[in-house]
Amino acid sequence: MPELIIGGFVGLTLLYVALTIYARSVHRENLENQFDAGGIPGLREVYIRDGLTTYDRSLRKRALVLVYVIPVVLIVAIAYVVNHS
Amino acid sequence: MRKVKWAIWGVLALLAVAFLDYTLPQHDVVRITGLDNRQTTVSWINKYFYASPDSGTAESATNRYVRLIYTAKPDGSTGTVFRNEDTGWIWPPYFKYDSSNIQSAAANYQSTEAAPKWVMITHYGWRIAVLSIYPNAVRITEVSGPDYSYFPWLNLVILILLAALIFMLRRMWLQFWDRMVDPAVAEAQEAGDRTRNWFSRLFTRKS
Repeated sequence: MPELIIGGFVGLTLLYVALTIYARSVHRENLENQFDAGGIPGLREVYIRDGLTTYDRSLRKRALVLVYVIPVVLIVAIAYVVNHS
Repeated sequence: MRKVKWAIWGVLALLAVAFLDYTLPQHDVVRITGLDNRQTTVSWINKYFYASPDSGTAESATNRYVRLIYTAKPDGSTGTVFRNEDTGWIWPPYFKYDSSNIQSAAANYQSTEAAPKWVMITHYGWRIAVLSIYPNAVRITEVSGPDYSYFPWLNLVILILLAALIFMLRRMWLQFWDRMVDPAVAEAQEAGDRTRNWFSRLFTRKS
């Protein structure tokens, strides 16, 4: 049990960090493409910076916490089905 | 070289399939013929196919009592022998801690050929006689008859999720490579070119 908690926490943290970097990178790429498609006034850097600031406060970014929640729910569900039904 | 590459991929694929075949749940319809609690020596050869010593039912790393469930198949032949051990909390991830309850259910369903009670045993693992390893019974449920069949929905879902995970990891890796590594390499090359130009300007005489 302690191994599962410690190992799971370390593993999920690695996954969380990797996913955070990935999702932000994809979002930045989308912003770049949107600006480069044309029709947006202002500076490219400002557009991207503002877009990323909005992203950092968005629900989508916060939903990444599910990386920690889903496995815990799964483990409890599996243990329940295996042992108590 | 190409053959070597394919051989390595082939071996890896085989290992992955074997690993999944061992770990994913399977279902056998059987009749329970007897139970046993057998003193078993777990050696370095087969220890990975038994519960780890710190899980509930196994007290020692080398010597332990292992609960066994003897079965017969619907066609009358001897079926697999199952073991009934707690899995512990790491691997395989069944988080089973109700071995005693399973054993009591198995005792309840024990029946004779004349008055058979058919059950479906959900289990993972393999029976390999030469290694003295048994599949681990995870659940026992009573079924209507020996012809009962079951489609492994759960395995399908798990395999789809695994494929999605691999696809996601690959996309993450490609994104990382595209956006971080390639630009860094390009920049380093550019910097290298600039240095070389500076040096060559330094040493070539202006005409």
